[in-house]
Amino acid sequence: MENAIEVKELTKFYGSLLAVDHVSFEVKGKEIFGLLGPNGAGKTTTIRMICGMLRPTSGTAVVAGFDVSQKPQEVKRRIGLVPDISNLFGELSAKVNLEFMGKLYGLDKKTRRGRINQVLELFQLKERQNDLVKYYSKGMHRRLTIAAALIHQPEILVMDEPTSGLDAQTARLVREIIIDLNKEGRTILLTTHQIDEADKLAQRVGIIDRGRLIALNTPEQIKSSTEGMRALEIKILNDVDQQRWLPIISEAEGVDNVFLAEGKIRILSKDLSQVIPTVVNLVDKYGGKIENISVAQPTLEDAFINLTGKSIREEPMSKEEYLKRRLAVLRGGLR
Amino acid sequence: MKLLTSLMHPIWIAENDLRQSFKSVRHVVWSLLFPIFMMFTFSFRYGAAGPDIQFINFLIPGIVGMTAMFGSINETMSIVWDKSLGVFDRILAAPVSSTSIIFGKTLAGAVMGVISALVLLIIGRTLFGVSFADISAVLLIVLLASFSFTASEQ
Repeated sequence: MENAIEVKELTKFYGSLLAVDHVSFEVKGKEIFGLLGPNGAGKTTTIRMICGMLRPTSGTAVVAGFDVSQKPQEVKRRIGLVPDISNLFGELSAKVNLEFMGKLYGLDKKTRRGRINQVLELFQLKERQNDLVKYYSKGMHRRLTIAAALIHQPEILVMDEPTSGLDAQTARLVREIIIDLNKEGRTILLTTHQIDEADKLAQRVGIIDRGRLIALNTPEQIKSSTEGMRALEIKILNDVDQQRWLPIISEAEGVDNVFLAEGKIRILSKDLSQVIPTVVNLVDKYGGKIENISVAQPTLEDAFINLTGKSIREEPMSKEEYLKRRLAVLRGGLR
Repeated sequence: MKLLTSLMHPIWIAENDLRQSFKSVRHVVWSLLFPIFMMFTFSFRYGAAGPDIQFINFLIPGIVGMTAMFGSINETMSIVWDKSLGVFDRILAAPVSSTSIIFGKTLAGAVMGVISALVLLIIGRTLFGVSFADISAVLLIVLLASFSFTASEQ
Protein backbone atom coordinates (compact mmCIF):
# COMPACT_ATOMS: atom_id res chain seq x y z
CA MET A 1 0.00 0.00 0.00
CA GLU A 2 1.28 3.43 -0.95
CA ASN A 3 2.16 5.76 1.88
CA ALA A 4 -0.31 8.56 2.47
CA ILE A 5 2.08 10.66 4.52
CA GLU A 6 5.86 10.44 4.57
CA VAL A 7 7.72 12.52 7.09
CA LYS A 8 11.50 12.65 6.92
CA GLU A 9 13.76 14.28 9.50
CA LEU A 10 11.17 16.95 10.20
CA THR A 11 12.59 19.61 12.52
CA LYS A 12 11.16 22.84 13.91
CA PHE A 13 12.92 25.50 15.93
CA TYR A 14 10.94 28.30 17.56
CA GLY A 15 13.80 30.72 17.95
CA SER A 16 16.30 28.72 19.97
CA LEU A 17 13.69 26.29 21.21
CA LEU A 18 13.67 22.89 19.55
CA ALA A 19 10.02 21.83 19.32
CA VAL A 20 10.32 18.94 16.87
CA ASP A 21 13.61 17.10 16.56
CA HIS A 22 14.27 15.09 13.38
CA VAL A 23 11.00 13.20 13.40
CA SER A 24 10.57 10.57 10.69
CA PHE A 25 7.60 8.30 10.15
CA GLU A 26 5.17 7.29 7.47
CA VAL A 27 1.44 6.79 7.52
CA LYS A 28 0.26 4.03 5.23
CA GLY A 29 -2.79 4.52 3.05
CA LYS A 30 -6.11 3.80 4.77
CA GLU A 31 -4.71 3.22 8.23
CA ILE A 32 -5.28 4.98 11.54
CA PHE A 33 -1.97 6.26 12.82
CA GLY A 34 -1.72 7.65 16.33
CA LEU A 35 0.85 10.13 17.57
CA LEU A 36 1.01 9.62 21.30
CA GLY A 37 2.76 11.92 23.70
CA PRO A 38 2.32 14.19 26.71
CA ASN A 39 1.32 17.85 26.39
CA GLY A 40 4.03 19.96 24.81
CA ALA A 41 5.73 16.98 23.19
CA GLY A 42 5.54 18.51 19.72
CA LYS A 43 2.49 16.68 18.37
CA THR A 44 0.58 19.76 17.29
CA THR A 45 3.69 21.37 15.76
CA THR A 46 4.31 18.20 13.74
CA ILE A 47 0.72 18.20 12.51
CA ARG A 48 0.81 21.89 11.60
CA MET A 49 3.90 21.26 9.51
CA ILE A 50 2.30 18.28 7.77
CA CYS A 51 -0.78 20.38 6.95
CA GLY A 52 1.33 23.16 5.44
CA MET A 53 0.38 25.71 8.09
CA LEU A 54 3.88 25.99 9.49
CA ARG A 55 7.15 25.97 7.62
CA PRO A 56 9.58 23.34 8.90
CA THR A 57 13.09 24.46 9.83
CA SER A 58 14.43 21.42 8.02
CA GLY A 59 13.24 18.07 6.77
CA THR A 60 10.40 17.18 4.43
CA ALA A 61 6.83 16.01 4.63
CA VAL A 62 5.21 14.42 1.59
CA VAL A 63 1.44 14.13 1.65
CA ALA A 64 -0.36 12.12 -1.04
CA GLY A 65 2.71 12.47 -3.24
CA PHE A 66 3.06 16.25 -2.84
CA ASP A 67 5.86 17.92 -0.93
CA VAL A 68 4.37 20.28 1.64
CA SER A 69 7.03 22.97 1.21
CA GLN A 70 6.70 23.02 -2.58
CA LYS A 71 3.01 22.42 -3.15
CA PRO A 72 1.21 23.43 0.04
CA GLN A 73 -2.05 24.15 -1.79
CA GLU A 74 -2.20 20.65 -3.30
CA VAL A 75 -1.55 19.16 0.13
CA LYS A 76 -4.20 21.33 1.80
CA ARG A 77 -6.75 20.26 -0.81
CA ARG A 78 -6.24 16.62 0.19
CA ILE A 79 -6.18 17.03 3.96
CA GLY A 80 -9.03 17.68 6.33
CA LEU A 81 -7.83 19.12 9.61
CA VAL A 82 -9.74 18.76 12.87
CA PRO A 83 -8.00 21.03 15.37
CA ASP A 84 -7.85 20.36 19.11
CA ILE A 85 -10.13 23.29 19.91
CA SER A 86 -13.32 23.96 18.00
CA ASN A 87 -12.42 26.92 15.84
CA LEU A 88 -15.72 27.56 14.17
CA PHE A 89 -17.18 31.00 13.64
CA GLY A 90 -19.36 31.37 16.72
CA GLU A 91 -21.40 34.28 15.39
CA LEU A 92 -22.52 32.27 12.38
CA SER A 93 -24.81 29.28 12.02
CA ALA A 94 -23.57 25.76 11.34
CA LYS A 95 -24.85 25.95 7.80
CA VAL A 96 -23.09 29.23 7.05
CA ASN A 97 -19.88 27.90 8.60
CA LEU A 98 -19.96 24.86 6.34
CA GLU A 99 -20.94 27.01 3.38
CA PHE A 100 -17.85 29.16 3.92
CA MET A 101 -15.56 26.13 4.18
CA GLY A 102 -17.06 24.71 0.99
CA LYS A 103 -16.39 27.99 -0.80
CA LEU A 104 -12.77 28.06 0.37
CA TYR A 105 -12.26 24.57 -1.03
CA GLY A 106 -13.70 25.68 -4.36
CA LEU A 107 -16.86 23.59 -4.39
CA ASP A 108 -19.59 24.83 -6.70
CA LYS A 109 -23.01 25.72 -5.33
CA LYS A 110 -24.74 22.44 -6.12
CA THR A 111 -21.98 20.20 -4.74
CA ARG A 112 -21.74 22.44 -1.68
CA ARG A 113 -25.44 22.15 -0.88
CA GLY A 114 -25.34 18.38 -1.30
CA ARG A 115 -22.26 17.91 0.88
CA ILE A 116 -23.56 20.21 3.61
CA ASN A 117 -26.80 18.24 3.85
CA GLN A 118 -24.84 15.02 3.81
CA VAL A 119 -22.49 15.90 6.69
CA LEU A 120 -25.20 17.60 8.74
CA GLU A 121 -27.26 14.45 8.53
CA LEU A 122 -24.30 12.21 9.24
CA PHE A 123 -23.46 14.10 12.41
CA GLN A 124 -27.09 14.61 13.46
CA LEU A 125 -26.94 18.38 13.36
CA LYS A 126 -29.67 18.89 10.78
CA GLU A 127 -32.27 20.26 13.24
CA ARG A 128 -29.89 22.82 14.66
CA GLN A 129 -28.30 23.86 11.36
CA ASN A 130 -29.57 27.44 11.51
CA ASP A 131 -28.62 28.05 15.16
CA LEU A 132 -25.56 30.14 15.95
CA VAL A 133 -22.59 27.92 16.69
CA LYS A 134 -21.77 29.76 19.91
CA TYR A 135 -24.90 28.26 21.48
CA TYR A 136 -23.79 24.70 20.71
CA SER A 137 -22.69 22.21 23.34
CA LYS A 138 -19.13 20.95 23.42
CA GLY A 139 -20.05 17.65 21.81
CA MET A 140 -21.93 19.40 19.01
CA HIS A 141 -18.95 21.69 18.49
CA ARG A 142 -16.69 18.69 18.10
CA ARG A 143 -19.08 17.00 15.67
CA LEU A 144 -19.39 20.14 13.59
CA THR A 145 -15.59 20.58 13.56
CA ILE A 146 -15.23 17.08 12.14
CA ALA A 147 -18.07 17.77 9.68
CA ALA A 148 -16.32 20.94 8.49
CA ALA A 149 -13.14 18.96 7.85
CA LEU A 150 -15.07 16.51 5.68
CA ILE A 151 -16.79 19.03 3.43
CA HIS A 152 -14.26 18.60 0.61
CA GLN A 153 -14.11 14.81 1.09
CA PRO A 154 -10.40 14.64 1.84
CA GLU A 155 -8.52 11.37 1.47
CA ILE A 156 -6.53 12.11 4.62
CA LEU A 157 -8.02 13.28 7.88
CA VAL A 158 -5.72 14.83 10.46
CA MET A 159 -7.17 15.06 13.95
CA ASP A 160 -5.54 16.84 16.85
CA GLU A 161 -6.71 15.43 20.18
CA PRO A 162 -10.15 14.46 18.82
CA THR A 163 -11.64 13.48 22.18
CA SER A 164 -9.94 15.87 24.60
CA GLY A 165 -12.32 17.66 26.92
CA LEU A 166 -15.31 15.52 26.01
CA ASP A 167 -17.38 13.43 28.39
CA ALA A 168 -17.05 9.65 28.14
CA GLN A 169 -20.22 9.20 26.10
CA THR A 170 -19.39 11.85 23.50
CA ALA A 171 -15.79 10.64 23.36
CA ARG A 172 -17.07 7.16 22.52
CA LEU A 173 -19.30 8.60 19.80
CA VAL A 174 -16.35 10.48 18.30
CA ARG A 175 -14.25 7.30 18.38
CA GLU A 176 -17.00 5.44 16.55
CA ILE A 177 -17.10 8.20 13.95
CA ILE A 178 -13.33 7.91 13.50
CA ILE A 179 -13.55 4.15 12.98
CA ASP A 180 -16.40 4.57 10.48
CA LEU A 181 -14.47 7.20 8.53
CA ASN A 182 -11.51 4.85 8.38
CA LYS A 183 -13.74 2.04 7.12
CA GLU A 184 -14.86 4.34 4.29
CA GLY A 185 -11.25 4.28 3.15
CA ARG A 186 -9.88 7.47 4.67
CA THR A 187 -6.39 7.63 6.11
CA ILE A 188 -6.45 9.06 9.60
CA LEU A 189 -3.60 10.66 11.50
CA LEU A 190 -4.54 11.51 15.05
CA THR A 191 -2.74 12.75 18.11
CA THR A 192 -3.63 11.91 21.63
CA HIS A 193 -2.21 11.94 25.11
CA GLN A 194 -4.51 9.16 26.21
CA ILE A 195 -2.84 5.80 25.97
CA ASP A 196 -6.01 3.73 25.94
CA GLU A 197 -7.36 5.82 23.08
CA ALA A 198 -4.29 5.11 20.95
CA ASP A 199 -4.58 1.47 21.94
CA LYS A 200 -8.26 1.28 20.93
CA LEU A 201 -8.13 3.28 17.72
CA ALA A 202 -4.76 3.23 16.07
CA GLN A 203 -3.34 0.47 13.96
CA ARG A 204 0.13 1.90 14.47
CA VAL A 205 1.39 4.25 17.13
CA GLY A 206 4.33 6.64 17.25
CA ILE A 207 5.34 7.79 20.69
CA ILE A 208 6.67 11.34 20.69
CA ASP A 209 8.31 12.99 23.66
CA ARG A 210 10.16 16.32 23.87
CA GLY A 211 10.11 16.60 20.10
CA ARG A 212 11.62 13.21 19.43
CA LEU A 213 9.97 10.08 18.15
CA ILE A 214 11.01 7.42 20.63
CA ALA A 215 9.00 4.43 19.44
CA LEU A 216 7.01 3.52 16.35
CA ASN A 217 5.06 0.32 16.06
CA THR A 218 1.71 -1.38 16.49
CA PRO A 219 0.19 -0.97 19.96
CA GLU A 220 0.71 -4.70 20.50
CA GLN A 221 4.37 -4.54 19.69
CA ILE A 222 4.96 -1.46 21.79
CA LYS A 223 3.31 -3.33 24.59
CA SER A 224 5.68 -6.21 23.93
CA SER A 225 8.61 -3.98 24.90
CA THR A 226 7.38 -5.06 28.30
CA GLU A 227 7.67 -8.68 27.07
CA GLY A 228 7.88 -11.18 29.85
CA MET A 229 6.98 -8.51 32.37
CA ARG A 230 4.03 -8.62 34.67
CA ALA A 231 2.52 -5.74 36.55
CA LEU A 232 1.95 -5.92 40.28
CA GLU A 233 -0.37 -3.45 41.91
CA ILE A 234 -0.38 -2.88 45.62
CA LYS A 235 -2.31 -0.49 47.80
CA ILE A 236 -1.04 0.37 51.22
CA LEU A 237 -3.62 0.77 53.95
CA ASN A 238 -4.35 4.26 55.26
CA ASP A 239 -1.31 5.86 53.74
CA VAL A 240 -1.80 9.35 52.33
CA ASP A 241 1.73 9.62 51.03
CA GLN A 242 2.06 6.62 48.75
CA GLN A 243 4.88 8.45 46.99
CA ARG A 244 7.34 7.69 49.82
CA TRP A 245 7.20 3.99 49.02
CA LEU A 246 8.53 4.40 45.49
CA PRO A 247 12.26 4.77 46.38
CA ILE A 248 11.98 2.00 48.96
CA ILE A 249 10.41 -0.48 46.56
CA SER A 250 12.63 0.43 43.61
CA GLU A 251 15.60 -0.76 45.68
CA ALA A 252 14.20 -4.27 45.79
CA GLU A 253 15.84 -6.86 43.58
CA GLY A 254 14.01 -7.80 40.37
CA VAL A 255 11.94 -4.60 40.20
CA ASP A 256 12.27 -3.00 36.73
CA ASN A 257 10.04 -0.01 37.22
CA VAL A 258 7.80 1.37 39.91
CA PHE A 259 5.34 4.25 39.77
CA LEU A 260 2.01 5.46 41.04
CA ALA A 261 -1.09 4.79 38.98
CA GLU A 262 -4.55 5.81 40.20
CA GLY A 263 -3.46 5.87 43.82
CA LYS A 264 -1.90 2.44 43.66
CA ILE A 265 1.74 1.48 43.48
CA ARG A 266 2.42 -0.29 40.21
CA ILE A 267 5.49 -2.47 39.91
CA LEU A 268 6.82 -3.85 36.62
CA SER A 269 8.96 -6.93 36.86
CA LYS A 270 10.07 -9.96 34.89
CA ASP A 271 10.18 -12.17 37.96
CA LEU A 272 7.14 -11.64 40.14
CA SER A 273 7.62 -14.82 42.17
CA GLN A 274 10.78 -13.28 43.57
CA VAL A 275 9.46 -9.72 43.82
CA ILE A 276 6.19 -10.39 45.65
CA PRO A 277 7.73 -11.74 48.88
CA THR A 278 10.50 -9.11 48.82
CA VAL A 279 8.01 -6.25 48.44
CA VAL A 280 5.68 -7.65 51.10
CA ASN A 281 8.63 -7.91 53.49
CA LEU A 282 9.84 -4.42 52.67
CA VAL A 283 6.42 -2.87 53.27
CA ASP A 284 6.19 -4.74 56.54
CA LYS A 285 9.66 -3.61 57.57
CA TYR A 286 8.82 0.06 57.03
CA GLY A 287 5.61 -0.18 58.98
CA GLY A 288 3.02 -0.35 56.21
CA LYS A 289 0.10 -2.73 55.78
CA ILE A 290 -0.90 -3.95 52.35
CA GLU A 291 -4.61 -3.43 51.74
CA ASN A 292 -4.78 -4.93 48.30
CA ILE A 293 -2.48 -6.75 45.95
CA SER A 294 -3.12 -7.83 42.37
CA VAL A 295 -1.27 -8.98 39.28
CA ALA A 296 -2.06 -7.74 35.76
CA GLN A 297 -0.84 -7.82 32.18
CA PRO A 298 1.24 -4.79 31.20
CA THR A 299 -0.73 -2.07 29.40
CA LEU A 300 0.40 0.39 26.75
CA GLU A 301 0.89 2.88 29.57
CA ASP A 302 3.34 0.52 31.26
CA ALA A 303 5.20 0.27 27.98
CA PHE A 304 5.23 4.05 27.68
CA ILE A 305 6.69 4.44 31.15
CA ASN A 306 9.18 1.71 30.42
CA LEU A 307 10.27 3.53 27.25
CA THR A 308 10.27 7.11 28.48
CA GLY A 309 10.91 6.55 32.15
CA LYS A 310 7.96 8.69 33.13
CA SER A 311 4.23 8.56 33.40
CA ILE A 312 2.15 10.23 30.71
CA ARG A 313 -0.28 11.62 33.26
CA GLU A 314 2.17 13.79 35.12
CA GLU A 315 3.25 17.16 33.73
CA PRO A 316 6.72 16.33 32.51
CA MET A 317 7.92 19.90 32.21
CA SER A 318 8.46 22.65 34.71
CA LYS A 319 5.98 25.50 34.57
CA GLU A 320 8.63 27.89 33.22
CA GLU A 321 9.57 25.54 30.42
CA TYR A 322 5.94 24.96 29.55
CA LEU A 323 5.22 28.71 29.42
CA LYS A 324 8.35 29.29 27.37
CA ARG A 325 7.16 26.69 24.90
CA ARG A 326 3.62 28.08 24.72
CA LEU A 327 4.98 31.56 24.10
CA ALA A 328 7.31 30.34 21.39
CA VAL A 329 4.46 28.49 19.68
CA LEU A 330 2.17 31.54 19.87
CA ARG A 331 4.85 33.81 18.44
CA GLY A 332 5.81 31.42 15.70
CA GLY A 333 2.27 30.36 14.96
CA LEU A 334 2.03 32.20 11.68
CA ARG A 335 5.53 31.65 10.40
CA MET B 1 -11.90 26.70 -12.28
CA LYS B 2 -8.92 26.82 -9.95
CA LEU B 3 -8.08 30.36 -11.04
CA LEU B 4 -11.66 31.48 -10.58
CA THR B 5 -11.71 29.93 -7.11
CA SER B 6 -8.56 31.72 -6.04
CA LEU B 7 -9.91 34.99 -7.44
CA MET B 8 -13.06 34.53 -5.40
CA HIS B 9 -11.18 33.67 -2.18
CA PRO B 10 -10.69 37.28 -0.98
CA ILE B 11 -14.37 37.97 -1.63
CA TRP B 12 -15.52 34.91 0.32
CA ILE B 13 -13.20 35.82 3.20
CA ALA B 14 -14.41 39.43 3.22
CA GLU B 15 -18.05 38.32 3.02
CA ASN B 16 -17.58 35.93 5.93
CA ASP B 17 -15.87 38.65 7.97
CA LEU B 18 -18.60 41.19 7.33
CA ARG B 19 -21.32 38.70 8.15
CA GLN B 20 -19.72 38.21 11.54
CA SER B 21 -19.14 41.92 12.05
CA PHE B 22 -22.78 42.79 11.57
CA LYS B 23 -23.87 40.08 13.98
CA SER B 24 -21.54 41.24 16.69
CA VAL B 25 -22.94 44.01 18.90
CA ARG B 26 -19.44 45.15 19.85
CA HIS B 27 -18.60 45.68 16.22
CA VAL B 28 -21.71 47.62 15.30
CA VAL B 29 -21.50 49.85 18.38
CA TRP B 30 -17.86 50.59 17.78
CA SER B 31 -18.05 51.32 14.09
CA LEU B 32 -21.47 53.00 13.81
CA LEU B 33 -22.97 54.19 17.07
CA PHE B 34 -19.77 55.60 18.51
CA PRO B 35 -19.09 58.01 15.61
CA ILE B 36 -22.73 59.03 15.45
CA PHE B 37 -22.63 59.80 19.16
CA MET B 38 -19.38 61.70 18.65
CA MET B 39 -20.86 63.70 15.80
CA PHE B 40 -23.85 64.82 17.83
CA THR B 41 -21.77 65.73 20.85
CA PHE B 42 -19.31 67.80 18.91
CA SER B 43 -21.89 69.43 16.69
CA PHE B 44 -23.95 70.61 19.67
CA ARG B 45 -20.86 71.88 21.43
CA TYR B 46 -19.19 73.61 18.52
CA GLY B 47 -21.83 73.76 15.84
CA ALA B 48 -24.24 75.81 17.96
CA ALA B 49 -21.85 77.75 20.14
CA GLY B 50 -19.49 78.83 17.40
CA PRO B 51 -20.06 82.25 15.88
CA ASP B 52 -19.43 80.89 12.42
CA ILE B 53 -22.08 78.35 11.35
CA GLN B 54 -19.82 77.10 8.58
CA PHE B 55 -17.74 75.31 11.18
CA ILE B 56 -19.96 72.24 10.87
CA ASN B 57 -18.78 71.89 7.29
CA PHE B 58 -15.32 71.17 8.57
CA LEU B 59 -16.38 69.06 11.52
CA ILE B 60 -18.52 66.50 9.69
CA PRO B 61 -15.97 65.56 6.99
CA GLY B 62 -13.39 65.15 9.75
CA ILE B 63 -15.63 62.77 11.66
CA VAL B 64 -16.45 60.91 8.45
CA GLY B 65 -12.73 60.39 7.88
CA MET B 66 -12.23 59.23 11.44
CA THR B 67 -15.15 56.84 11.14
CA ALA B 68 -13.63 55.30 8.06
CA MET B 69 -10.46 54.83 10.06
CA PHE B 70 -12.25 53.31 13.06
CA GLY B 71 -14.19 50.91 10.87
CA SER B 72 -11.02 49.77 9.17
CA ILE B 73 -8.99 49.43 12.35
CA ASN B 74 -11.75 47.45 13.97
CA GLU B 75 -11.76 45.05 11.06
CA THR B 76 -8.00 44.66 11.30
CA MET B 77 -8.27 43.93 14.99
CA SER B 78 -10.45 40.98 14.04
CA ILE B 79 -7.33 39.25 12.70
CA VAL B 80 -5.89 39.31 16.21
CA TRP B 81 -9.18 37.98 17.58
CA ASP B 82 -9.34 35.29 14.93
CA LYS B 83 -5.80 34.23 15.68
CA SER B 84 -6.33 33.96 19.41
CA LEU B 85 -9.59 32.04 18.96
CA GLY B 86 -7.98 29.71 16.44
CA VAL B 87 -10.49 30.49 13.69
CA PHE B 88 -7.66 31.93 11.62
CA ASP B 89 -6.26 28.38 11.44
CA ARG B 90 -9.40 27.36 9.61
CA ILE B 91 -8.50 29.67 6.72
CA LEU B 92 -4.82 28.81 7.03
CA ALA B 93 -5.53 25.09 6.67
CA ALA B 94 -7.61 25.61 3.54
CA PRO B 95 -6.01 25.92 0.10
CA VAL B 96 -6.00 29.71 0.19
CA SER B 97 -2.91 31.80 -0.59
CA SER B 98 -1.69 34.30 1.97
CA THR B 99 -2.22 37.09 -0.59
CA SER B 100 -5.91 36.17 -0.75
CA ILE B 101 -6.19 36.21 3.04
CA ILE B 102 -4.60 39.67 3.33
CA PHE B 103 -6.62 41.02 0.42
CA GLY B 104 -9.84 39.55 1.81
CA LYS B 105 -9.27 41.08 5.23
CA THR B 106 -8.39 44.46 3.70
CA LEU B 107 -11.49 44.35 1.55
CA ALA B 108 -13.65 43.66 4.59
CA GLY B 109 -12.04 46.59 6.43
CA ALA B 110 -12.55 48.92 3.51
CA VAL B 111 -16.21 47.95 3.08
CA MET B 112 -16.79 48.41 6.81
CA GLY B 113 -15.14 51.84 6.67
CA VAL B 114 -17.19 52.92 3.65
CA ILE B 115 -20.48 51.73 5.14
CA SER B 116 -19.97 53.55 8.42
CA ALA B 117 -18.75 56.68 6.64
CA LEU B 118 -21.79 56.56 4.35
CA VAL B 119 -24.18 56.43 7.30
CA LEU B 120 -22.50 59.51 8.76
CA LEU B 121 -22.57 61.30 5.43
CA ILE B 122 -26.30 60.77 5.20
CA ILE B 123 -26.88 61.96 8.75
CA GLY B 124 -24.61 64.94 8.20
CA ARG B 125 -26.47 65.92 5.08
CA THR B 126 -30.02 65.46 6.31
CA LEU B 127 -29.70 66.67 9.89
CA PHE B 128 -26.96 69.25 9.65
CA GLY B 129 -27.27 70.26 6.04
CA VAL B 130 -23.64 69.78 5.22
CA SER B 131 -23.16 70.20 1.51
CA PHE B 132 -20.82 68.07 -0.49
CA ALA B 133 -19.85 69.38 -3.87
CA ASP B 134 -19.26 65.97 -5.39
CA ILE B 135 -20.54 62.99 -3.46
CA SER B 136 -18.85 60.42 -5.71
CA ALA B 137 -15.45 62.04 -5.15
CA VAL B 138 -16.02 61.97 -1.40
CA LEU B 139 -16.93 58.29 -1.55
CA LEU B 140 -13.89 57.49 -3.64
CA ILE B 141 -11.63 59.24 -1.16
CA VAL B 142 -13.32 57.41 1.73
CA LEU B 143 -12.88 54.08 -0.06
CA LEU B 144 -9.20 54.69 -0.75
CA ALA B 145 -8.64 55.95 2.78
CA SER B 146 -10.36 52.86 4.26
CA PHE B 147 -8.24 50.60 2.12
CA SER B 148 -5.03 52.26 3.16
CA PHE B 149 -6.05 52.46 6.83
CA THR B 150 -6.72 48.72 6.91
CA ALA B 151 -3.64 47.86 4.90
CA SER B 152 -1.35 50.02 7.02
CA GLU B 153 -2.76 48.49 10.20
CA GLN B 154 -1.87 45.05 8.94
